[in-house]
Amino acid sequence: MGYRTPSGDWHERTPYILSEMGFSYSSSMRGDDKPYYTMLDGKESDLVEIPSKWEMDDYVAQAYSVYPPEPAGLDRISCYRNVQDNDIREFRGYYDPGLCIVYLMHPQISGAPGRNLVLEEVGIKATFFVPGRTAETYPDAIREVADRGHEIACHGYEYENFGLLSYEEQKERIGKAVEAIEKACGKKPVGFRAPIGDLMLKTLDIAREYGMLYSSDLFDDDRPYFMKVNDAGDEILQIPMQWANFDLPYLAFNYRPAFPFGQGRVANYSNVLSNWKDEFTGHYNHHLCYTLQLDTQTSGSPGRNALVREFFQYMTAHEGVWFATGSQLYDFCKKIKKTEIEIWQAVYGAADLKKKWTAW
Amino acid sequence: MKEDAEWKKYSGQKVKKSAAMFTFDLDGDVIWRNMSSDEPNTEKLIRARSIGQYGPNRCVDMILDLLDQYGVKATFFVPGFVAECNPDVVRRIAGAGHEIGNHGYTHERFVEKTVEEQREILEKT
Repeated sequence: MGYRTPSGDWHERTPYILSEMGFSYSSSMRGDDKPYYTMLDGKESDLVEIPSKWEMDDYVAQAYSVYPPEPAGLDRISCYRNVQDNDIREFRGYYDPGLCIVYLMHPQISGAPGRNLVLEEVGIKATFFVPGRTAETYPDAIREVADRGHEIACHGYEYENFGLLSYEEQKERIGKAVEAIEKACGKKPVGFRAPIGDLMLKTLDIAREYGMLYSSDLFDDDRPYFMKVNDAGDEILQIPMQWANFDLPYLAFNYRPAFPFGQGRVANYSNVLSNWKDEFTGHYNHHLCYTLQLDTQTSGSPGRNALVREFFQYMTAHEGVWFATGSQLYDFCKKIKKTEIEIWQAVYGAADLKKKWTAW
Repeated sequence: MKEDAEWKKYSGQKVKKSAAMFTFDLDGDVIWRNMSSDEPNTEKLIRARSIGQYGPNRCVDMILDLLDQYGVKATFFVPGFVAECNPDVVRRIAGAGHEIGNHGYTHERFVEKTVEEQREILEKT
């Protein structure tokens, strides 16, 4: 009566076959954390889907074969105590809904208004970078995020690699993305982050032409700075980030196709939290600007949500931290640009800056 | 005892228990310029290179502060191209009493070069 699809994806007709053959449930999908009825031909069918997640799959942590290499990237076997720690954290997240936060952007769980939104709980307004097509597919979710006071910014149209597109193609994609976001939440985005892949200086110039005031794309600093994006000297604010302050390099996983490239093991949750804390503390001690990057689908499982929540609690326990959205940072930098920002640019650990942050 | 005397002679210091050498490779963005060369348009891609630019832009000063705090002199291996792009940074390192080492011109793979080419790279750097 039950079916689980073997490794690799299933065919779009597979659930129809299961239904016709009288299977009562499938446990094949990854995109939810509770059972649901499978939609067939736009209608709820009798076929129940009980999703399982990579987070709780021992294959992700323990499978190994030297030849042929398995998994594809032939990474080390994860140490048992690290796997157990992750399992316990996931179980606690599922067991205690009070630990959960909901990422409104997660397509499958966006319609669950009953859960706590940890951002609201700790009073943080965040910036959500949304691909245009996601805004077209989930306009209600995007509007809800915007209505709760968070900023919606542009993340390309369909997660394209801007490093590989011509000028015209880039222009078309950004134009379409801006339009889709405006349609979904009634407001034009003023921030831009290119999806994973690379981008060109002219990408930022196009973004500027479409009304973008800042970009959060580069890794070359730990404070925002104004950068020239064309020969005419037009500027855009750059709010840099770091791979270390991102959930994807530690936690993202897909078996086939292998993702990320090389298919490394999922990291130990407690150690990830420890890295995030170290980086935050370093930025805090040097009066810098800490940029955290989370993918809703990567940190979306209950155990990982609880992890992010623990991190937010750690951050908010520090005195004098200003939690700003991208456009708030832009306003700040624009205001201090003429005098102070040059000092800030020139002097490492500028003592004045602490006062500036505090005053703001 | 003989070793202690030798140590004293060369280090000019009292007898120590061990040696420790702090070394830094100041590669800047040359690794990304080289490694991404099988992708099209690499000279136009700004994100990958920004990862490497963080070193000379920000990290060197932080490292210099730290070394200064503990009174340690280190050796910085710098590709010639990075030195040309960041002359002030290299001067700050040397000015603080640290050593600058040769690290190729653009972080080349020496194993793929002829003897003549290797000499040329080392001299240019």
